[in-house]
Amino acid sequence: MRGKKLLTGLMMLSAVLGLAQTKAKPKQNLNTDDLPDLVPNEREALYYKITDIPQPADSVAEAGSMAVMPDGRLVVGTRRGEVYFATGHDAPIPQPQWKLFAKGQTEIFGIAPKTNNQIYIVQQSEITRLTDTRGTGRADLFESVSAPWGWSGEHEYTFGSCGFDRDGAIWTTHCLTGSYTSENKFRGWAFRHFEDGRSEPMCSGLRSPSGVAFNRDGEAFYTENQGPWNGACALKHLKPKGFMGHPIGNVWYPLAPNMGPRPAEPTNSQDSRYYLDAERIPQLVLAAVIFPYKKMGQCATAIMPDNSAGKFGPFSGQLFVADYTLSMVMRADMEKVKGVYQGACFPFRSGFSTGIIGGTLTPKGQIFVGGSKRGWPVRGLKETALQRLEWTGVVPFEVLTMHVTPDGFELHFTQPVDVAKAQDVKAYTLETYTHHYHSAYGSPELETLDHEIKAATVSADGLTVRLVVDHLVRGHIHELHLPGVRNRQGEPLLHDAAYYTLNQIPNP
Amino acid sequence: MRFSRLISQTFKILSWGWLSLTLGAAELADYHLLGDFNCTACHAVNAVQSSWVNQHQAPNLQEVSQRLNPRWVRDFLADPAHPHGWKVGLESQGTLAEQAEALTQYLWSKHPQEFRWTSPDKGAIPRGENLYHTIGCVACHAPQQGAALGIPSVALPNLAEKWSFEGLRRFLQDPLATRPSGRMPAMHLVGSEAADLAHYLLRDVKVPAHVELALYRGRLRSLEDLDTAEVARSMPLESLAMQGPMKDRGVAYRLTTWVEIKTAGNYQFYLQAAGASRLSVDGHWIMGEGSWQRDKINDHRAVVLTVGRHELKIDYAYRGNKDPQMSLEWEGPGLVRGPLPSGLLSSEATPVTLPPSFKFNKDLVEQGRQLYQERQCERCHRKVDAASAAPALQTLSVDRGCLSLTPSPGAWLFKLQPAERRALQQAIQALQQPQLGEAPVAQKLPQALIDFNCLACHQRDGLGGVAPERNGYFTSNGDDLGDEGRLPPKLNGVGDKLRPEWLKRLLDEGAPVRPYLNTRMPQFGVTNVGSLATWFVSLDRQPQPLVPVTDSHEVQLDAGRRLLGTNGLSCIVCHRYNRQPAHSMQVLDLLTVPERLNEDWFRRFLKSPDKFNPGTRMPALWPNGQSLLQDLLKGDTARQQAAIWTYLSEGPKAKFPEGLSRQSMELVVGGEPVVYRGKMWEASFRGLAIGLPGQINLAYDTETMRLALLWHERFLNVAPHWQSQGMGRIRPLGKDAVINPPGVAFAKLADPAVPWPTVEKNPVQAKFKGYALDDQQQPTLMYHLSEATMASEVIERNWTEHVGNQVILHREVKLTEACPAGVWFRLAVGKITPQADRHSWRWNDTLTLELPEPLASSVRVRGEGDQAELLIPMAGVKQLLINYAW
Repeated sequence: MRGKKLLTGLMMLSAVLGLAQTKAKPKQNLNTDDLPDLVPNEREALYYKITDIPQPADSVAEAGSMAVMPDGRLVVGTRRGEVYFATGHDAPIPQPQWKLFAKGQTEIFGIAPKTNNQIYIVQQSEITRLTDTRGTGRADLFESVSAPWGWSGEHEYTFGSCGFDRDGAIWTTHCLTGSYTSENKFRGWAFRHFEDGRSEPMCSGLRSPSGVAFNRDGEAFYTENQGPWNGACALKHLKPKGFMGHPIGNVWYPLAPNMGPRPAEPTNSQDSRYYLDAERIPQLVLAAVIFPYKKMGQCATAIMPDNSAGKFGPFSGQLFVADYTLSMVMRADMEKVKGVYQGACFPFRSGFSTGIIGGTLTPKGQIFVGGSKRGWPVRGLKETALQRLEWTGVVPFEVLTMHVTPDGFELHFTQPVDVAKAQDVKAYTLETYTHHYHSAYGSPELETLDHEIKAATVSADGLTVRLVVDHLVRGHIHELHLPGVRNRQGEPLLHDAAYYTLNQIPNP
Repeated sequence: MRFSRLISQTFKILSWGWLSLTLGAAELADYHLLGDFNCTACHAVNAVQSSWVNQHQAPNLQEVSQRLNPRWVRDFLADPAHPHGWKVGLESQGTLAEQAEALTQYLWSKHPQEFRWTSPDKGAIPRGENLYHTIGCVACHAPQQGAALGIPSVALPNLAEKWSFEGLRRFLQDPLATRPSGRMPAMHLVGSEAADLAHYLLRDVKVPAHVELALYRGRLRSLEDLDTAEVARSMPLESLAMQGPMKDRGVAYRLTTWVEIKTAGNYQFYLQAAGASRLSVDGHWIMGEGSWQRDKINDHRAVVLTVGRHELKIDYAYRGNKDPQMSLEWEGPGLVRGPLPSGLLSSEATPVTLPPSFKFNKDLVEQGRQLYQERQCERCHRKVDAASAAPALQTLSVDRGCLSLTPSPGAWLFKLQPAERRALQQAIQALQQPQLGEAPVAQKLPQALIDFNCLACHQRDGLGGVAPERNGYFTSNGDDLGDEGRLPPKLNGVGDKLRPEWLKRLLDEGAPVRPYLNTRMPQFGVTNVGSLATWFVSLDRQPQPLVPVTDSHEVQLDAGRRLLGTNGLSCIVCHRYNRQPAHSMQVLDLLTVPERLNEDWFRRFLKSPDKFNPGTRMPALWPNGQSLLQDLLKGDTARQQAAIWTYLSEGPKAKFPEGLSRQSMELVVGGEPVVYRGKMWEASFRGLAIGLPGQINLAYDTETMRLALLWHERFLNVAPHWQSQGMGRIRPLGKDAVINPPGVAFAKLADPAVPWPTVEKNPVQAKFKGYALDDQQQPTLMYHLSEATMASEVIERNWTEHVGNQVILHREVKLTEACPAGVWFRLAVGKITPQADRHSWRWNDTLTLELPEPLASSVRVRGEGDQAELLIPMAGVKQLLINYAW
C-alpha cells in the first residue's frame, strides 16, 4: 500500500516537474562525478609529438589560417591581417625563417595558395588575390575578387577553405550577426567563389562556423558551434542547396534563386529533434559528426584532412579537427549511409598551448596549428602560439574506424586485438543520446539510454571487431567505450572512446 | 482559506512526492494542508508539533478598503461554491449574501473609501508586460501572452475587478506588508516598475473620459511617426484644451476622442498650432499633413457628418521656437465657431459606464462587526495570541468538528475533498503520536522549498528547476553565456558552497551577483525564510581541510595577480574584476568570491567546475589537480589556489591583473605608406585607411569608394581589432579630421539641383577592385565605374609633398573613359568657404581644397551651412587632380 503510494507520488512528481521521460530502460540520473575531465593524456606524446615553432622576431603570427605553398613553404594568414611565409618550419628542431608577404588586411580565416607568387586569402571583407608581381617576396597587387556577403555587424566572422575544391572554387562560411541574427546580406550562409570573380550561394542555415575543408570525396565540410539550433559543436556537410539548421538567415533566399525554395520553419518545441524535422524539411542536412559538448571540446575550429598517404600515421583520409577552448585536436572518420554522411569522432591529442584557430596537415605528414586565446576562454596558457604535431613512427593502439552495420558497428583497430578480451561483450559499453533542435542555446544530452552489446566477433587477423547491439537509435549519438579491449601486448587503447552520430541505419 | 488553497494546489502534490523521497514511507503524512487550512490558528500546538507545520497567515485586512473593490470582497464572501469563513449554524444570522454584505460594510467602516477606477497608462503597459514576462512573475503565474502553458500556475483572479490601481501598486512594491507569510515575494521593483506592472495587470479597466491623451518619446521625423512611435504615457482628459504636459516644450502627442453629432450636416474644423499638427476624422487625415515643413498650421476644412459618434484624432509635435500651442474649433448646423464642448466628447466609441458603486450602509456595520467576531476572522487574518476556545490539536478527534462528514454547529465549513479530509486526519494523528520528535531539517528544508516555490526557478538534487514550458521566459541580458547566463543557479550543495553570512544576506536582501540574469531573486521576508540559511548549511556543509600553504602574503599577491591575468589563466577574459568589464562575457565579478564562497569549496570547484555545474563554459584549469602553469609556485595546485584566494581577499586594494586595461596598439607611419583595412566608424566595416609619410592620413569606404576621412598626425590605434574578440570600430588617432558623410562619390543627376542620390538610386555603380603597391609601398586604388553608357576603370593615388614647412596631399583620380553628361563627383560635404583665388575652398574651417583650372571654374557649391556640397561636373573629364592642405 505504502509502496504504491510512493510510486504514485513519484509519478505525479515527475509529471508535474516535466522530467524527461525516456521510453525504455531509463538511465539513472547521471552522476556528475562520473564525467571524465579532459585531462592531458600523457601517453599521447609517445605517438604524436608537439613542437613549438618560434614566432617571427618582434612580432607574432597569430594564426587564423594555414596552408602549404607549392614549393613547400608554410603560409600563415593571421588574425592581425598579415600573411607570413616560413621555411625551415618542418626541420627536426624548427628555427624557421619568417618572411612577411602582406599586411594590413582583416582577420585572414582562409588561405589558398595558387602559385609560389600568388595566394588567395579569405578576409572578413572579401576574397583577395595577393600577387608578388615583381618578385620581391612581398605582395604588391591586392585584387578584390569576390565579396557578395554583407558585413556591418559585430561577430560576423567569415571563414574560408584553405584551398580550392575540384571545380577550382574557394568556399566561405559567414557567421550570423552577433552569432544570433542575420542583419546583413547572407549572414548564416556558405558560398563558393571562382577565380574570375563569379560566386554562388551554396548552403543556408549556418550559425557560427569556424573552419571549412574538403574530405577525400572533395565534398565541403565545416565546423559549427554549440548555440541556438545546435545542441553541440559539429562537423557538417556543406551539401549544395542544403540548409544547415539555423533558420534566421533564410530571409536571404529571395537573393539566391539557385538555392531552390526556402525551407519550411523548424518546429522549435521541446520535443523537436534534428532527425525528426529533417523528414519534414528536405533541405535540412543532418550533422555528419557531432562533438558532444565538453567530452569532445567546446569550440570546434580548423578542419585538417590527412592527405599525407600514411606519413602522419595510420589515419590517412580522415579529418582532424581542432578545438579552440580545450586547445586540442580531435579525429573524425565518416562514411556515407543511404546518401548521408555520418561517422565517429575520437579524442586524438590534447595539450596545445593556446586556442587553436588555424591549422593544416601538410603532405609531409605534419600538422601545424596556431592561434591565440584572446576573447574567449581557452585552456592553453599562451597568448599566441604556433605548434607542430608529428607522428613519432610508433603506431598507437586506437580504434581506426567505426562503421555502422544493420545491427551494430564494425570496428577496425590499428593493431590486432587480444581475441579473448575483445570478444567479451563486457569489454564495451554503449550509451546513446540526442539533443534538442530548438532556438534556445545549446542542449543537454537527452533520452540517454544504456545499451546491451549482444555479441562481439573478432576477425581472424584480429584487426576487426563486429559488435551486435540490442538496437540502434536513429538520430542519436552512440557513445562507445572499450575499457576491456587490449592489444596482443595487453595494452589498453590510447583512447577508449568513440562517438558515432547515427543519421541512417543501413539496410540488412 | 480559499486563497491559500488556490496557491498551494499547484504544489501540494510536490510535497507528497518529495517527502516520499526524502523521508521514506514512515513519515508520509501531509502536513502541508494543516498550514494551508490554518488549522493551528484555532487548535493550539506544542513546540514540537509546530515544527512540522508551516503556518500561512491570511492577508492583513486592516487596510483592505485602501486596495480592494468592496463589491469584489462582498461577492467573494457570498460565493456559495466556496463559502469563505462560514461556520455551521450561522444561517440563523442571515443568508450568505446578507452576511457578506454586512461583513463588507464592517470592513469598509474602519477606513471608508470609495473605490477608485484608474485609467491604465498605455505607455506603462508594454513596460509592465515586459517586466511580468522577464523578472520572474511567470515562474509561478501563467504568462499572459502566447498559448496556454498546459501546466498548473498560481491563479490570478480577475484583477481588474478586485484591485484598485494604487492598492495593487503598493501591494506589488511590498507584498509582505499585506501577506506576511511570503508566498508572494517582493521582486525588487525599483522606480516606476510597480506602477508599470499594475497598469499592465489592470490593462482591461475602462474608465469614462472625454478625451485620451497619448504622449510620445523618441526622435520624430514626421507626424506619421506617431503611428508607430512608442507611447511614453497616456491619460484621460476632460477636454481638448491645452493642459498639463501638453504645454511642455518638445512635446509630441495624439488626442483621441469620439464626438457625438446630433444634427447631420456640414461641419467646419479649424486647426491652429505652433508646430506640426494634423486632424483625422473617422480615420482620414483631412488637414495638416504637410505642416511638418512649415513649423505651424492655421487651416480649416469642412466635413459632412451624419448623426452619431465620429472619431477625431489630433496629432501634435512641437516644432520651431514658440511656446507649444494647439487648438481645434468647429462650427456647424446651429453652432457658432468655438471649441468642441466636452459634453459631446467621449474617449471611446461607445461611452464607458462604470458598474454601480458599492453603497455604504451604516446600519449594517454593527451586524458585520458581530459576524466578524463570531466567525473569528482575526484568528487567520491577524496573528491572535489569545487562547482559542477550540480544543488543542493533541486532543482532537479526527472524525469530529470541522473534519466530521456532518459538521455540527460551530464547526467551520471547509467543503473538504475526501482526499483532503484523509490527509488532514493522517497528519493530525501523526502529530498526536506521543513519541513525536522535532521535525528534522531534511523534512523542513524541502518543505520550505516547496512552500515558497523556490523549485520553480532553482533545481536541487535533481528536483525542480525551470519547467520546460516556462523555460523561454528565463532570459539573459548578456550575450554568449548560454543557459548559465539566464537560468537561476542550482542549489545542489549550496550550503557547502556559500558562506552562511552570504546565504543569510541573499535570502534577506536578495544580493544579486549575476546581473545578466533577467529573472530576479525575490525577497520572501527574513522571518519566513531566515532559517533556510542554517538548514542549507546543516544539510550540505562538508568542510574539507585546506592543504596548508606557507607562502608569504606578498608572494601570494604576486602569484594570484599573475594567475588571474592574461599572462596566467586569463580569468579576467570572461569574469569581471572589481567592476571592470571582462574582455568578453561579463561573468560575475571575481571580487565577490571570498565574500560569497567557502574557501575549501572554491578549491574543489576550481579543480573541476563541470562536476559542480555540468555543461558550464568554465574550463577546468587544474585538470586532474595538475596546474597548467608549472613555472609559478612550482606548479603546486594548492599554493596557486591559495594565492588566488589571498589575492581576491585583498579586494579592490590589490594591483589589477595583467590585461585588464586595454593597451594601445598604435600603427606608426614611418618613411613609407601604411595600408590598414578594417572596421572604422566613419569609413564603414570595409574601410581602407592609408597613412602617408608626412603625417597625413586618409580612409576610404570601399563599399562606395567614398573618401570618407582625412586627418593628420597620428594614424590609428588598432587595439579594438587586435585584442579580445576584435570587436569594435576605430576612429582616427590624430587631429583635424574632416569627414565626408556616407554616400556615393560619383552620381548621375537629372539636373544639378536634385538631391545627391543614395547607393540604391544612383545610376552610377562603383566597385572596388583592389590596390597595388609600388616600390615605395605607395598604394594605387583601383575600382570600376559603370553607368548605362560608360564602363571605366578608375585608379586613385594619394601622395604627400613638402612645400616649405607645409605638407600637401595630392590626390589623383584617373578614368580610362570619360564620363557622360550628368555625372558629378562630390568632393566634399560640410561647411565650404570659397577662397579669393577662385580655385580653392576652405572645408569645415580645417583644410583647404585646391583644384586646377579649368575644372575649378566649373565647380558647383550647393546647399548651405554645414551641409554644403562641392560638386565637380565630370562630363568629358578623365582626370582629377586635387590638393589638400591643413
